[in-house]
Amino acid sequence: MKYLKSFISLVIIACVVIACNKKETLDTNITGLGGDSWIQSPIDKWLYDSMIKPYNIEMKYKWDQSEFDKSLILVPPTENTVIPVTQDIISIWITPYNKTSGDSTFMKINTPKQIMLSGSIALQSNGNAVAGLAEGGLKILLFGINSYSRKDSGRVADMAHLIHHEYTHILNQKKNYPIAFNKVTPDGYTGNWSALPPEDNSWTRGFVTNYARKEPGEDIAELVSTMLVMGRARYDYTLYHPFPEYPDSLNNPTGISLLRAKEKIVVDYFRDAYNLDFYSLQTAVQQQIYNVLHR
Amino acid sequence: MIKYLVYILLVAMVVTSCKKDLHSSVFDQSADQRLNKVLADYQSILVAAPYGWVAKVVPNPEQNNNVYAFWFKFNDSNRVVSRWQNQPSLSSSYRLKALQQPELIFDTYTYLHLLADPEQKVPGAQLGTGLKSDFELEIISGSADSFVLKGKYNGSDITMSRAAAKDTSGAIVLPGYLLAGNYKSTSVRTGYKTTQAAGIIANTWKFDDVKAANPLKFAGTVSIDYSDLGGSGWQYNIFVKDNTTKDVTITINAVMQSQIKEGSFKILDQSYDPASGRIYIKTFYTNSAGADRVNEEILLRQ
Repeated sequence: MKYLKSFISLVIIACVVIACNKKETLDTNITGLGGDSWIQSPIDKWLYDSMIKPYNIEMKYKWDQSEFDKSLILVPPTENTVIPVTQDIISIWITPYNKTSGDSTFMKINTPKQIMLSGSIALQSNGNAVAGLAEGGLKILLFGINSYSRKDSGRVADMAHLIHHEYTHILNQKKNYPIAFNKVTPDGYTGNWSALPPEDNSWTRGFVTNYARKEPGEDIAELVSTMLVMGRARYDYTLYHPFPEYPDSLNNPTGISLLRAKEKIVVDYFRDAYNLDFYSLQTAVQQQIYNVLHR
Repeated sequence: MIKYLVYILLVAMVVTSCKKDLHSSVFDQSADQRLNKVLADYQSILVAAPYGWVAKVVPNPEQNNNVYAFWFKFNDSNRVVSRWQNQPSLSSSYRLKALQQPELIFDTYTYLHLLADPEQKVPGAQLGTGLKSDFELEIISGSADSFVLKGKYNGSDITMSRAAAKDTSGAIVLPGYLLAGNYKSTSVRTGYKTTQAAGIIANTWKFDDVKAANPLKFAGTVSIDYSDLGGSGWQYNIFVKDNTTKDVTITINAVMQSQIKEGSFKILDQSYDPASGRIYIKTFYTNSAGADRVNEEILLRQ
């Protein structure tokens, strides 16, 4: 009897334990997983073949507010600008790196994974318009592409400057630039960069643009993109003749030596961090800008 | 006794532990599946309209009375053809998406975006904000005949009504605005030196041209330039209830109201003939300097 009781107790306890041992199949189809979907258009197919397949870069052009700062008022791109802008971005940005590094491996590894396009410019509350942003080494935002034209050399140069500026941020976010760069012109950085008087010539203080005076991170991005888009010859000329109307700025030894010091750090950084010859890259960018303008 | 209680408890556990339908939903399908079905239903309604939809768009309705008319034709592969004013039709993309609400998003640029464009693409738009219009629209309700939509960020009021064959080309006509269209206007404005009672006429202004009567957000109401002073932003707002009435209600817009002597505007005479589309208006106001003005205007439907 004693055993029977114990036996029954055991059976009941076993039942309790087993009863809840329910196997669940974990193959439920989660609705909505995998993001937005729509019927693929010829543009989507072209982008897949030109950007996603070779470089795993998603060129996102359809409206998605969540990709942007909500305080910005924007509109989506016009469809017929998407392919020309992408073609030109490939030409003036990806192709020069491919040529300099030998093949497409470098860009396959080091490109941001998403480029988000906005049709309109991004006007901020202080009245400044933002042309582009880079985020966390992974994403570049480009604004104002609806008014882009490859026949307009100014716009092409601006686009080249923008993408190389943002891409410098991405490279810096992946491998930091030497700390020595911050110490070349430590006193030149100012929050007032957008309201500098014309006689406060940035070139004579060791900066290529006023925006470069915002902070060292922007400084190196501006320097790299300015040198790439201007080309070596024009950059060197501008260095010695920055503002003819201000005699002080001609052959200004301070500005020249500071910018040469920064240039050396940049060239060393590209060589040491990424094994790239900066001057070859500069030449390749020049060729490609020429090609885009004569497409 | 305790022993029995323990046994009863154990048996009760055995019996209840396997009750499985605690997790089953009162619905057949999950919330996401039901939401997707709603979206699919909306899409099929949008696509089903053979002549597309006429859309009435009121950007920033809290501060704006103007209405913009568009024509849209949706297909089942996320494409939409748009028409606006006298522009050629334009193809772009759209999609339906479930966010906080089911949404209709015009996700690449088309005429609708001109109103929202921060680069000032339409008259009255502000740099940086445009007209505060929307192209990401929450679907409040939708049926085979009409959709009610609400702009997600600026609260634009948008209604779409099923279009007829005549809407697929030519001017886009919003339903419910009988007076909308172009009018040949003949007006004589009389400026008195002081009061009308004193009777000394200082000047008269004659106007003879074609004017547009444009729909306002108020149902059945259109705005048309006041005499020759449309350039100053002065407008009549004219309302007619239906096609059988000969009575129109005439008021003046806020710009005009703010620039004349307060409360001085009055209608001296008015008539409307629905058959010929002739509107006759005779009105009076006193200007800010205290001089009386009388405007007599005939509007003939083109």
